[in-house]
Amino acid sequence: MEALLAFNLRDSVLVLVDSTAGRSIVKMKEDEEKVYRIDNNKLLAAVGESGDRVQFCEYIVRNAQLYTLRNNYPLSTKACAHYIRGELAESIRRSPYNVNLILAGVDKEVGPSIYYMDYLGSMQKMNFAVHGYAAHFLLSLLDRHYKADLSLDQGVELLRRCVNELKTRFLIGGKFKVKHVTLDGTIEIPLDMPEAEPTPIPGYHTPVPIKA
Amino acid sequence: MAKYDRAITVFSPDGHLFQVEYALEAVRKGSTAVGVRGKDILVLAVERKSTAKLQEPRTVRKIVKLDEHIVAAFAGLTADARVLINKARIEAQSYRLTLEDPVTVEYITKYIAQVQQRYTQSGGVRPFGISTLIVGFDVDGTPRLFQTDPSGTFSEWKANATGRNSKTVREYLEKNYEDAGAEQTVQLAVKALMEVVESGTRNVEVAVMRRPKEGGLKFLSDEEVDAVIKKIEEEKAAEEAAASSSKSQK
Repeated sequence: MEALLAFNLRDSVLVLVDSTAGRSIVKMKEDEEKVYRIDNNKLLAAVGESGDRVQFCEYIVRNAQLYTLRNNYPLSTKACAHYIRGELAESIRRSPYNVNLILAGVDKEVGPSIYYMDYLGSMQKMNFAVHGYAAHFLLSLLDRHYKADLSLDQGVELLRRCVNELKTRFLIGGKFKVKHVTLDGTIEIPLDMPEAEPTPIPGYHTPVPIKA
Repeated sequence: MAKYDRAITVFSPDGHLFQVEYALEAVRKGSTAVGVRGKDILVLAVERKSTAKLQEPRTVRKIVKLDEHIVAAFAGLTADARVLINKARIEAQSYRLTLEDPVTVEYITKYIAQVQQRYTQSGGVRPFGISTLIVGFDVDGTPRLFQTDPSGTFSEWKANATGRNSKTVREYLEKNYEDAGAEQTVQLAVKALMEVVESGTRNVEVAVMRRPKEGGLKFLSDEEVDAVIKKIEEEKAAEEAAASSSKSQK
């Protein structure tokens, strides 16, 4: 199943999304791009029905560009999120788009923001968000380890923890892509995952004697 | 109830479409716009209409972006231009959505011309009272300049002008055009415009389009336009001084 995760750093956003494209029990490709660049400082990451995902996200990207051209001014992350949510809400009772999204953006005054949206058209602004089965594993991990004001290195370390967790406990897994959204632009970060043993956590990986 | 299905643009006995010709008259009343194509650059220079004292000059824009790589200037009815430009912008994005490719300059020009033609052959509508100059670089790097007019015709140009006194400007361009580098092309555009417009940054607005990797679209600031005008005037003075000195030597 598809995993999508994002969390706020000090003044940027990290987005982790799996890059597997498959159907039923077959993995068709492992380098699928599920993140769409809306403009210089906004990313739309989507998981769900692949046809719906491409169709909906490309439509959003093109309309955001049209807005920028018409008004000579880019959409704010908040405005963009509300626009996307509106489109999802309109289509749910007509021909629903089966996509779950996270909009990650950085604005000058507001700073980094994450908008979590699902295919029914509900939306929530959050500090960290996860879509898919991965949520069952990662939300608790993030609750424990996420702090406000993380640096990029700390953020990538946290991402490694998350990927490790999925690799250890999640039935289905594959390759991931990491995107870093800043005020100046978006960049893909390679997530070098050592194939070796995960950092052992005492009491989890190694037994700790129970004090009588 | 009036039915809006009767055509307004109809043929005259001698084969003219008077509404289209009247639309061209409206274009001729608009402020001048000049477009020049260079080797690696495209320049649009427009006459900045004098704004009233209390009016904000930045809201009167005659050079507009159609997409990241295409820019247009127009002459004629500003409100008509707004509608047409909006349609063109939507088409540019729609094309990108369907074909995952940016429009070529010719495609978007053809589209605009098509819209203008449709309004000369539909019921209840009048033609758009604008001519446009559309510039941009195609994906293969070729610079292109096109012009459309109210009749819906379009053609490609090396340099052209539209609006008030466009004939004078075009004649100047015909005499002096050279496929040249950036500085010379900007100078030619401004010189041509200055044939019919009072010189000074208050009256001239210049936009320069380069290939995306070389900078894309840039509006010249007041200082930059001043600098160009100053250089033109210096060269003119130097020419006149050289001409008069050679005359006196004879």
